[in-house]
Amino acid sequence: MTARVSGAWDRLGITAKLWLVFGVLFTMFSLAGAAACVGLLVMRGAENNIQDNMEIRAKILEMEGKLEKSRRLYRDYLLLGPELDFEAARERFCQPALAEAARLIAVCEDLRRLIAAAPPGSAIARRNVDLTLFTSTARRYSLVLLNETGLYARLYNPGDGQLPRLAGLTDQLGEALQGSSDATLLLREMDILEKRYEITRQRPFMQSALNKAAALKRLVAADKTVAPSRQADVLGLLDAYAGLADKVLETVKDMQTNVHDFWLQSRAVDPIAEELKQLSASEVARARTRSVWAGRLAAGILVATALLGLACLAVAARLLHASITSKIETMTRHAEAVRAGHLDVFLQNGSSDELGVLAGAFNAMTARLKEMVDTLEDKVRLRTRELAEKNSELDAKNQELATLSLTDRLTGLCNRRKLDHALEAEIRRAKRYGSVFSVIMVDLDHFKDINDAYGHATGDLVLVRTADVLVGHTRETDLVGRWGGEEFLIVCPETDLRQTTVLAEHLRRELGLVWGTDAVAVTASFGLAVYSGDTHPSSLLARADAALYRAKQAGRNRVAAAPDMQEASDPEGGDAPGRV
Amino acid sequence: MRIAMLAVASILGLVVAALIAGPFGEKSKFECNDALGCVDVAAGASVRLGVIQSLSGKVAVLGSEQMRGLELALAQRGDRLFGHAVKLIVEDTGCRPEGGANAALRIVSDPSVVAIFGTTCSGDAAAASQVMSAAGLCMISGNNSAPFLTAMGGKPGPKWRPGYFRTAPNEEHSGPAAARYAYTALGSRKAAIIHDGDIYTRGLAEGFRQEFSRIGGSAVLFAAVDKGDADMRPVLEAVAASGADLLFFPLFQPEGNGVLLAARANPALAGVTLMSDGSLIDQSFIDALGDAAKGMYFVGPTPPEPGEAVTKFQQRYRERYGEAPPTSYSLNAYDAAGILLDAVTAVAKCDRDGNCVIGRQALRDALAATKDYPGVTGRLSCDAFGDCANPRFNVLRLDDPVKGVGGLLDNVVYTYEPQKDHDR
Repeated sequence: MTARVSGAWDRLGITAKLWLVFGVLFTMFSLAGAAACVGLLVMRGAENNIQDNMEIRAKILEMEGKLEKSRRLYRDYLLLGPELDFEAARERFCQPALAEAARLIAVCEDLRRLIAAAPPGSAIARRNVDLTLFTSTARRYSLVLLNETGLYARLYNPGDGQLPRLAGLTDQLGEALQGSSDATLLLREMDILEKRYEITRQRPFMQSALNKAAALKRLVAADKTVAPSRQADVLGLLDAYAGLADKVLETVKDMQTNVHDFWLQSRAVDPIAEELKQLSASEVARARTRSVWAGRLAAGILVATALLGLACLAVAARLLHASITSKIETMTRHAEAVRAGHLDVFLQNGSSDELGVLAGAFNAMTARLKEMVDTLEDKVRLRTRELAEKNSELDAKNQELATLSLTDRLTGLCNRRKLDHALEAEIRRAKRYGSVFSVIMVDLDHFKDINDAYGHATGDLVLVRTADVLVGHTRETDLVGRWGGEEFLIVCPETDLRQTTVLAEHLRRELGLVWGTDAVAVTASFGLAVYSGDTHPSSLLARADAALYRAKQAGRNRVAAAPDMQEASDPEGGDAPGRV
Repeated sequence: MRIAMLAVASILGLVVAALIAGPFGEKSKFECNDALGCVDVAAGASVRLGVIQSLSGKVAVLGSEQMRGLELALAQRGDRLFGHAVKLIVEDTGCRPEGGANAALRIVSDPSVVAIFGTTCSGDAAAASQVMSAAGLCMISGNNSAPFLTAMGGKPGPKWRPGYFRTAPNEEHSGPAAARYAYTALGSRKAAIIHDGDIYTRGLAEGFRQEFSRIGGSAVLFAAVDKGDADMRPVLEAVAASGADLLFFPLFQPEGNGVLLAARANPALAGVTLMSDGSLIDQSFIDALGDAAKGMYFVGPTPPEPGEAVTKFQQRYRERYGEAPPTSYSLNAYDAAGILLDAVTAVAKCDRDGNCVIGRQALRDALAATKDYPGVTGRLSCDAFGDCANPRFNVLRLDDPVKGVGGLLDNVVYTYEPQKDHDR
């Protein structure tokens, strides 16, 4: 997986990498922003919730307060009404109680609206049913209270209230029955029972009072002593009393029903108010907790996102460094190395981004450079070797040339130049050290005839054999050279005339021996000259040549010596016969 | 490059999508065109039925019978209606009108309540019916028999409210039936009458008084006791003083018990015939009073004719509760519950997911349209005022308390059926 990611990363281009990195960072910041927004929203929601719940709570308290106040006013009305002036009590307690009940309904409606607006899922919203009950019960409370106050008035109203009227009837009966002790006793018993009823509100007492009234009625009816008109009055009063008592019983029963109703109502709604208060409080607590948690969570997410963003930044920086900067640095180092001449460097870059491509190009370039450099050295080395070869060839040629310049190509003998140098050197030596040396000029006899007769090849062969004979039979110190054509010159250092003449004779004989057996008869004529103060070789050579001439003249195949310089100036001294 | 741009774009897209994504598409619902609105029963939710009965005090036994009738009717339907479980919201009235009013207020404050099964006492029903009807609900009782609640003489009773139905017979003729029997069969001429101010007992007492006076008798005392009164001697002294030869006291327990005991304790009343009504036709009353109740007359609805349906019902009752039904009112309750549950099932409109709506007016109409419902108490058809039972009344005499309520119910001395012959 990591390898795949790493591979995918490596395949991305630099721009794509930058996009990705900045995209991730942007997402991080977006997430952080979103987290903060959500946190704020949740906190705001919680705050609103708290506010709503506080409002609801306030309304519940107000509702409960109004109910309580109304009940208290009603209770005070019941308790104090009979003692106070009725109208005053009514004004002071009853009207405010009804007003409170009316306001209670209004508060209930407000509360219902508030709760209906509460979030649908909240516990308080689910209690809307209870609140409906509270409202309807409050309305009912108001109606029952109205009814109750009406009943109360009907019972106690000073002018026409049932109880005052009943008391009035009792008083009238008392007056009417004055004089009759039995009747008065019954009346008193009836009155006491009625009073007990008023106190206890137990119907049996009133029933007993009514029983007494019935007994009184029977007594009065049976009493013949009473005047009929008075009797009729009393009976009428008793009937009125019984009728009124029934009404009192009805009224009291209705009032009791109302009281029981109040009790049932309070049993129904009191827990609701309590529960609603608790719910509202717990909603507030929950909202607070939620708010705190949302705050913490948002802060946590912010911090986490910030840290994550930082980490991403670090990772991004590292990745970018690894993917871009470090590669550029590496390439720079490599470029410097290449500049320094290290062409063996190779850039390792596995990525396929632009830098990877650049590294590839760099590597190719270095490889090309290296190839070029390597080829150049090879060529130089080759050229050097070729040059060396040419040089040595040239040296050989030069040496050969040098040899050639002093040697006769055909015979391998010294050439005329070498002979000149040798003659000059010998003359300088002779002059310096006073030594003696001789020259022998050899010319093949009738060589032209040989060439003509046998061809130049044979001529050359003759020349070569002659040279071999001359070299082979001279001394090591003697220098044999070809003077030109069929003429040879032998320089004989440290040799006087006699030794030279002996040598020449030896050479003439050897030549005769060599060629005497062949079909081709080759002979040579020798002219000798000994150095005798010649300043220039030409003079010496001229004397030798002159000697040769004479030998030729003398019939060829002979040795002729040239006279000394003094002898030469003396023509007789020079040309001695027999010595030719 | 392209991949990176795609990645960034998709991340941004996700963020934006997450931000703007909200709850889309509310569940499709049936449109409610009902004049009184509809009750939604979401898939998986329970069908909520309000139950208002007297479940405390001496009358609890009657309320309990109503509950059992309902439970058996539900059990017969697998305790489910159109695939939904049934949730009962039970309120106790204590057999007092204000209890009925407060219980009804409590029930109607829950808008998810489909209908109300109740009440036990007619006084509670009058108060509850008012609240229920104003809230657009229906209520059906298997026990209320006061005429005020439905119709009197073919005209709507003062406490009649639309949406109210009952399978207990209208006792409009119960008081007159008792008066006729007292006058003609028992030869009574002076009757004392005691009620407790409840519209039920008062209605009976008034019916008795009017009929008794009409046929020549004299109502010498028309007295009342209060619910909860302990001392009944004064009122019985008044009875004694009135010279009545018959005492009609259509009271509930325990006031009825008190009156009976006080009457037995009063030697002046030794010769006075005692007559009460259906609310005391109960095993607990016989058990409590024993011999004191011997010779007493009761006027009450005629129990259903014995038959297969009744036997089956009684068998199921015994299986579930381990005893025989103490009164026959559980049968009325069973039929009332059956009519209600069938009507609710018929009216409920459900989608494929099981979300249902029940129109309130449609439910009222469905209940009113009940015709020839095959109940255990007979074939029931509801009239325009919500009366679904055929009124038939028996006068019973308790000869042997040992035989219990069964023996009492069997000892029919007089049957009155307004739709048929008046004397049989």
